[in-house]
Amino acid sequence: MMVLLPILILALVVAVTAFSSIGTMKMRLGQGKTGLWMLGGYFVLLLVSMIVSTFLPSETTASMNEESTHSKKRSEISIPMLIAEGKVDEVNKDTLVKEWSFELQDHPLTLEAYVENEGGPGIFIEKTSDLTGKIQASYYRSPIYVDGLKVQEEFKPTLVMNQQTLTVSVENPVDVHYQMFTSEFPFTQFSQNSVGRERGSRIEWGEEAVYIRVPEETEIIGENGNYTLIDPAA
Amino acid sequence: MYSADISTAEVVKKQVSYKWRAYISVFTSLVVIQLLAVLFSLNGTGMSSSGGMNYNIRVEYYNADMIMIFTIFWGFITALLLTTKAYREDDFAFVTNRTSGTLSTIIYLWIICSIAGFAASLSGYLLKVVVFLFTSQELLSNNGAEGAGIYVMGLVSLILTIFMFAGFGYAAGMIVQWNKMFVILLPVLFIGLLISLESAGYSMDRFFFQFLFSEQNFWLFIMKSLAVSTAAYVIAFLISNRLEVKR
Repeated sequence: MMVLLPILILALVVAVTAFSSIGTMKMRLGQGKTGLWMLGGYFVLLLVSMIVSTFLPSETTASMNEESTHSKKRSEISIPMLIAEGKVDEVNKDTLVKEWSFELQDHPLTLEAYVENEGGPGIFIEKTSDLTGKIQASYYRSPIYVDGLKVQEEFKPTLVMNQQTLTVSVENPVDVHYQMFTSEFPFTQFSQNSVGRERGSRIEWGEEAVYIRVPEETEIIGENGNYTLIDPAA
Repeated sequence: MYSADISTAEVVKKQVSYKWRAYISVFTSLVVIQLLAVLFSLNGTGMSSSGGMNYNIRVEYYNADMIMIFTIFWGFITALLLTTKAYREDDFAFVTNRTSGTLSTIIYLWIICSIAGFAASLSGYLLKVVVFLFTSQELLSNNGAEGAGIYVMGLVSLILTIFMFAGFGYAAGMIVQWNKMFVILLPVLFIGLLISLESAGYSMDRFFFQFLFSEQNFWLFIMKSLAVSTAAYVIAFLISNRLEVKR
């Protein structure tokens, strides 16, 4: 019965409006051009809206087929996996969001990680003989797609070096708000693209990782599980 | 005694022309209802929110579905009102019979339903502009369906749907005119039937909405909706023939 309630409310609203307008039409017989003028004005409004809407800042999201193509390509690339295997060179350069460089006076390095929400980026540390007296950090992130459309707003973690302590903070998530216009039911009914389309967006979250390079002899002091040491021999 | 015979087609044509001029106020209610629906649609038709990778993504969905549904109800109510005594008697301003009177009403309903459907199909643009004016945010369009062909098919299906519901309203109105008891009986029977079917596992969704609105073949949809509409209008026509003149 609850299913019928919105329908009944809707019917009531329409009925009251229709009765109040049409109920007086008999009295207006012969004098009423109001309806025609209103209809004409309304059509002008609709046509103006149609023209104006083409100039509004708007982007069209990908169709379902395009989305699956994108998904397939993206899923082939795994940033954390490549970094963990020591194949940083193979990571797509477009996914490099930010780089940092800090002085490191002594060899012990304390790593602190603050992740506000679960599922923050993995932190990978590689010991290298290429560096002396400094550490280098990079943040990689593949794009996020909402219905195939790339999210433009960028998030970057905060990396701060305080004496021998490197703090990686993943806080203040980015709020992204979209207004999506979808096709109406008569127009999706016969469209092949609409087959199986459910309400809700397809969000592809992508992948992210913080990659830190430290001098070879650096002793790392960190909590269990807050970083992964890259072993080139593995 | 007439000096010339008037064909049924001519009478129908004159009656349609008369009804167009006499009932022009139906468009006032159409415009009011569609604007009201635009107002209700500003709330959006849904929202989804997801969080991950330090992003909170909120997507609000908008479309003109509600405007179209309001228009369908408008078609139902308008047709229902046309069966009331005052409107039926307008037919007798001409040399007429029940056949030409009903036929002219059906043609008139088809014309106004087409106009209403066309207006509803464009109302999505108005909604888009109003939403932008209120929020000034970038809009995304998820056009699962676009192109001239899809638009024409959607427009035709929308008009047929409005016309079909107008047929239900017309038939319901005629049944009520036939016997006033049906003012109460008809909704009771309808809702009772829905509940009975639902409890027996035969939902209206399965037997009506899926039958018509899950049909992805355009031509089959036309055939189905025309068949349902024809049934409704034939019922109305048969009942109107049973009504006494000037009842």
